[in-house]
Amino acid sequence: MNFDDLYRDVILDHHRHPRGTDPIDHPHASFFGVNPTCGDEVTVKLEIDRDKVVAIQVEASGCAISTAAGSMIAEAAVGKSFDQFQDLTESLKQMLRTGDPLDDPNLGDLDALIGVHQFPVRVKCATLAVTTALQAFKIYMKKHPSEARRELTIEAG
Amino acid sequence: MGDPAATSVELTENNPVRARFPSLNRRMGDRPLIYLDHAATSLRPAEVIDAACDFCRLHDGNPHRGLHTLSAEATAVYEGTRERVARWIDAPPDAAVVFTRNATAAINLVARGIADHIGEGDEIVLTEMEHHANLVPWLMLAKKRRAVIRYLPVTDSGELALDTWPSVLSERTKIVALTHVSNVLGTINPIESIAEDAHRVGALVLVDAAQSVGHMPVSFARLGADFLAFSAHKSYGPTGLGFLVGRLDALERLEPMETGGEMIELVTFETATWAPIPGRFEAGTANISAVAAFPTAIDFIELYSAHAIDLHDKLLTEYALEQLLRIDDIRILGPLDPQLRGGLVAFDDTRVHPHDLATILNELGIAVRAGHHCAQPLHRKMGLSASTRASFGIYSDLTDIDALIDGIHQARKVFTR
Repeated sequence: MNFDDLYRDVILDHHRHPRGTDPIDHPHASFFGVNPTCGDEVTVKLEIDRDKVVAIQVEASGCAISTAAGSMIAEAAVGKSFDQFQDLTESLKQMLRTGDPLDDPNLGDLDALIGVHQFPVRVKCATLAVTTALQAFKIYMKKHPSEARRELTIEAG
Repeated sequence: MGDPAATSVELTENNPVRARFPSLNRRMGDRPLIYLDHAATSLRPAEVIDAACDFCRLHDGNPHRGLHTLSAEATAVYEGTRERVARWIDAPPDAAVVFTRNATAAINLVARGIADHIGEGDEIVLTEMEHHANLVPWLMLAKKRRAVIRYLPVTDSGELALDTWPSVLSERTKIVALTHVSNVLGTINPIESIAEDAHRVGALVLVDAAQSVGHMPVSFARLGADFLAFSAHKSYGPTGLGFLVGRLDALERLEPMETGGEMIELVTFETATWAPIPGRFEAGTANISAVAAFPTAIDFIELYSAHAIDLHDKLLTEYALEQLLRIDDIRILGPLDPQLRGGLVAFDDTRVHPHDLATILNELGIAVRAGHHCAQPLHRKMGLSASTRASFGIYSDLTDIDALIDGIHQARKVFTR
């Protein structure tokens, strides 16, 4: 097999030069995620304003797939609302499950992870950072229910 | 068997034993399977697979549970295995062999069963190189009984820091539980002297022999432990079967962890009394076909001799260490002297993460373990979250290691393009 299909240049680039590493000193929410089968760890910190991500810090330690996915989500998350973030997470999981490319501009570079589909045991590496970020976002939404409702109303309107 | 060393060389140069392992016939894409994950589970020779099937085809009864012929035959097979294992592991007459699900279940049986004998402030001594199976059950026990866990540290070279041993052991020590061979470092621990010291302060000793049995001669009597836990599936046997070998007076102290059928003596609507050892620890129907097949795995090991397998392991380990150390930025975990190790080598390639390496190796047909190998605290102590481990069985040979080394170079190419 051609390893370049899994380890695409864009993945190696994110792995070598991860984005979203600038520290957030006073995050509105943070979450620590771990993949217990392999020991990959990631901490995601979020700064949120009016239900949208304005800054994100991802501290990932693990394989190239998981660190690259963390870097990609750091880029993709900024400006997203909770619902958009949830959609993005679902899109990524669907792409990794089916192997079908998705025409979802929300994904950003995350679409380069499509090759992981061929490696079912590595799917968890690709989703760790995203699901951890979503958990952090959920914690924020729980803490700020009124703001979340307001935002949802505005969007519905 | 003749000269064990001669057998060992033969195995290494041109390994005819491979033909006996059906799973080695598998192709990984267009490549042969190179199995270097023996420490997770050994492959099984055809005769062991056949023995399990033969039992189901022929006897297929439930031991100790009927007066009909099939049950009686199953009883004979079941108890025959018990006697065979006792002889093989050199258990003296004042010891018993208990069938469990695996080595983990055997350790849990002791850690949970001994709870009534552990009081607040009592000490349980473990080492920093324990597999989670010999760590978490004791954490649970300590929490439940407000006992204290004390750790015998591991040195930078991956050996037990025995200079601290006298200060770790005390009159408060009730149990010392440690591994015979580390599943990460490969280190062989000096069980005999540790057991002697532990007994001097009145502590019980449990040895996790999951990585030593089937690799080297292991004598329960000589080790001097009170409990020995190991599994069948790491010794060319079936999965779903493990063993707790224990001295009778130590086993007597254990409350059964599971209760129910076949482990009782007398049951009324109000009370129950336990069957004698070992039956009281074997509630419910066991994995009978696995029990029936395991003597064939012992036959297989004895055909080559545990001593010859040990030499074979050491030869491969020496070669693997030599070859790995030639590569830049590879850190070997554990002692560099193969004589101090069992048949496995875990390493950290600082250029390629273990998961990425394992994925690429798998594409080349090479099966290794990548991760923390159920030893997170040890990895954290070494400043790692994961490592890559190659482990050897009787079917492994030097060409497997050559393939591994070549695979590491290929993985590096992917990451440096």
